[in-house]
Amino acid sequence: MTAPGAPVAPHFRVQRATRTSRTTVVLGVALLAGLATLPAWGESSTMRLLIQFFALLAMAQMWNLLAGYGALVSIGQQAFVGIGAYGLFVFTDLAGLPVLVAIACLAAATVVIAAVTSLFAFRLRGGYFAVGTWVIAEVFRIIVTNVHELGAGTGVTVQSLVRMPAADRLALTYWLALGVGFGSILLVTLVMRSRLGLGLAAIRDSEVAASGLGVNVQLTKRIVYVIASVGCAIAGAVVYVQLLRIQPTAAFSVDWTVKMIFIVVIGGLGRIEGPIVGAIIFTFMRETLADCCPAFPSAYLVALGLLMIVIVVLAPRGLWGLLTSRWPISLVAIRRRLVSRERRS
Amino acid sequence: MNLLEVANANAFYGDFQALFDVSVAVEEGETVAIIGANGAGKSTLLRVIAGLHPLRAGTLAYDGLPIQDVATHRRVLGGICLVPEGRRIFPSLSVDENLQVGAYLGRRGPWNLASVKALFPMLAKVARRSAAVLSGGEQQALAIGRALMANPRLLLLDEVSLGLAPIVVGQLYAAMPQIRAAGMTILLVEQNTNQALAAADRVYCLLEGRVTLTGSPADLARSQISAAYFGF
Amino acid sequence: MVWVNAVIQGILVGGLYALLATGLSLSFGVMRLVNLAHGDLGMLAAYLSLAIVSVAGIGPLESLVVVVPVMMVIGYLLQRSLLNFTLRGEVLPPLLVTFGLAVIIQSGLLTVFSADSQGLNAGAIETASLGINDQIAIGWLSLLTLAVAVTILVALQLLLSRTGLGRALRAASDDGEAARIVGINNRHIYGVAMAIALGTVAIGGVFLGIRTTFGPADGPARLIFAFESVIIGGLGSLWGTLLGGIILGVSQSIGGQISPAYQVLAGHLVFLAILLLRPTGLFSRPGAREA
Repeated sequence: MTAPGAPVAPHFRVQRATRTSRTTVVLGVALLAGLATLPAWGESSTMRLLIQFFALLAMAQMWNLLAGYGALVSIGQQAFVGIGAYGLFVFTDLAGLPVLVAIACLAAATVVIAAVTSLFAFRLRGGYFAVGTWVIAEVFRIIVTNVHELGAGTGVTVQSLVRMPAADRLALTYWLALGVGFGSILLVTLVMRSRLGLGLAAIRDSEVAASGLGVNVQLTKRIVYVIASVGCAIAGAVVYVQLLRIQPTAAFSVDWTVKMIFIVVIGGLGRIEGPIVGAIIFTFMRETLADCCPAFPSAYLVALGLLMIVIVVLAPRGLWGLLTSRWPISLVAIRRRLVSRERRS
Repeated sequence: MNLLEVANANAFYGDFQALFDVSVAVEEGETVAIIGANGAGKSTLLRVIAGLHPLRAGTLAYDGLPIQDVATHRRVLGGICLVPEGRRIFPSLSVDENLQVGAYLGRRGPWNLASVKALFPMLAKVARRSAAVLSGGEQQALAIGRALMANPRLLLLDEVSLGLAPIVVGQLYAAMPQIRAAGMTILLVEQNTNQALAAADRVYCLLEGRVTLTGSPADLARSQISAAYFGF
Repeated sequence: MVWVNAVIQGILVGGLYALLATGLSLSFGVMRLVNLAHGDLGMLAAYLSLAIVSVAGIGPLESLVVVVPVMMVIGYLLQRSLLNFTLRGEVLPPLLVTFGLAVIIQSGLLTVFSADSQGLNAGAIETASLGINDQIAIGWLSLLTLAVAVTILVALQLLLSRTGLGRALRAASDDGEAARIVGINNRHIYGVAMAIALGTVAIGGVFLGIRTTFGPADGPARLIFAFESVIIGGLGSLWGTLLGGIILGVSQSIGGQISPAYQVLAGHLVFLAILLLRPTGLFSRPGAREA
């Protein structure tokens, strides 16, 4: 019998990992290790495909973090893809830093830029927030188009990387893409497992209730916005390590966000596995439809658009959601369960 | 034949069951009251009858015809009008416009702008004002007036007295006899038991989603009502 | 003087922006729906006009007689067959569906009409102008555009304030559930709202197509101008939208006078400034829905 006033030992602890999730981690690490060896034996076309895949996956994970977990629909993430691209140029060519350091620097710069833009963006809500983010992206695009040092309308080429031998550059980009892709999954997992993630999930369900429980709604949303922006910037930089030629219209094109949205919504909004499924489907459809109808180059976009509409109306949790409604599996451990501490005797 | 027959109604909010096999019947021309504590399911029942909430099981018959799958606006066309909990008047419309939109479907009958304002003179004074700036009592009168404008056969009143001062509640209930005299069938929900018992021909008591008592106020003893209301 | 001219031109184009904005504002007001395909639907109207003009040999202004009803029917059907199903109360579905629609419409227009720049030729009226003095000339077309825009806004305002349909639209916009209990069929009313929205964006799209050249990818820019007009002017007021459009037009015109590269940017900057300083817009109605 404990004395009154003495602290009561908690009878429960929070457990997240499941057998499935532990298996996933093991398999994931093995996959990463295997993929990392690809430059030694694989074809460059495969590596290029995977670079695109993992870069898009990373961007999609960021968009999912915003919209799926945070209920913040942004159509302006392309702003940060462009910032990543031009940041790469600024820090490698203009500042002469090695690639990895440059990426770290542009990430830091993006934190500041994203924090500033959030001042404007968060004056709006819902659909108007969405268009507002688009306007902000357009502002960035127009500004860059008018800055001579950044190549103005014609764009720039990242010279310091041009000098690198093509095979080396491909391998470098490939490993960066692997890092960014797997890193994004890890990042979102860590965020959602943290207090920030718990607060975010609460906000998604009910802002008022979350706020009443002490969650700082505004701050949480902004932090998530900044994280997602940095993720997109890094992914954008990686893309342009491969492409090298940076043009404002392409770098700041809304097409980036179109792809993110298609991937996330079709794959499954609000679940980490969703964008992975979505990215696979996206890549598959783009590759097959591009070959079948050369006269109709945007056929795959129309097909994906229709698929997305069907999914939003009929299966709003996406394909992963459909799958898990039959077989409830969770590859990534986020859910918290209260588990009794008592040993079974 | 009853104007309204609710038989074995079961309604849910997600997994939470709000009504358990509730059966209520209302004859044409009657005034029936549903009393019960907060959360007893009274408003849910009215919303089910009005078409704002689905029935998971049970039947709803109006004038002998099943209406549980009929859309809300069609029920209004058939003569069922709800005065909802919380008034729910349209804040960007004026008082007159609120009344006019009540007559959206153009059902014929004794109620129009003139007769509604004669019933609630307070509305005539604020006719042009935005409904958003009215007092609680005026808003409630407006909500009732708006429902009357549709010339219903069955008027559903949800918690008319909620949040209003006793004197205002008295004024509103003082209008009941005139509404009844025009032949209206009324089903009202009230937490204010005295007011309900005074106004009604028959009464049902709900407790946690179940009917615990029914009868006419004259035949029921206070102790019976209390027991049915509180459950002990 | 050249600045006065810039202001005047800005006012004239502002009416056009207001017209584009009206539909967006109406569908948000009545249904809480921000239609991300709004601009692309305006492009659809312009291309429709183009097709009719080339087939029937009439002018684009005359083609409106066909384009507007067709777009209104499209709007009604779109709302009832698809968009109504997204209005379950969550924020994401309507945005995602209209976004998908925007992509589909753009891709469709690109495939059918190619990426070439197109223009609608309204004939002599395009160049005729009213000379005020040797530095200021007001194009008849611009004047006509402003007149049409204001007329439509007046008509819409009358519809909303004086008719039973207008009351129903405003009631549904205030409280969808309460609208049902007075007998309003929300699904139908939303369809009507979308029909009106597409009717106005069709007129705006055609006039804009006469005024400048256009291509399949111009939809988003129009959406942004419409959106900026709504936000600058403030939600909940058609007159606010008109003034918002005019302010946007004037900002762009003055920016463009400083340098053509700054034209659109100037509008964006004014929009951002309003966001920062007066987020409810300059002329918002108290009690109007928050953005």
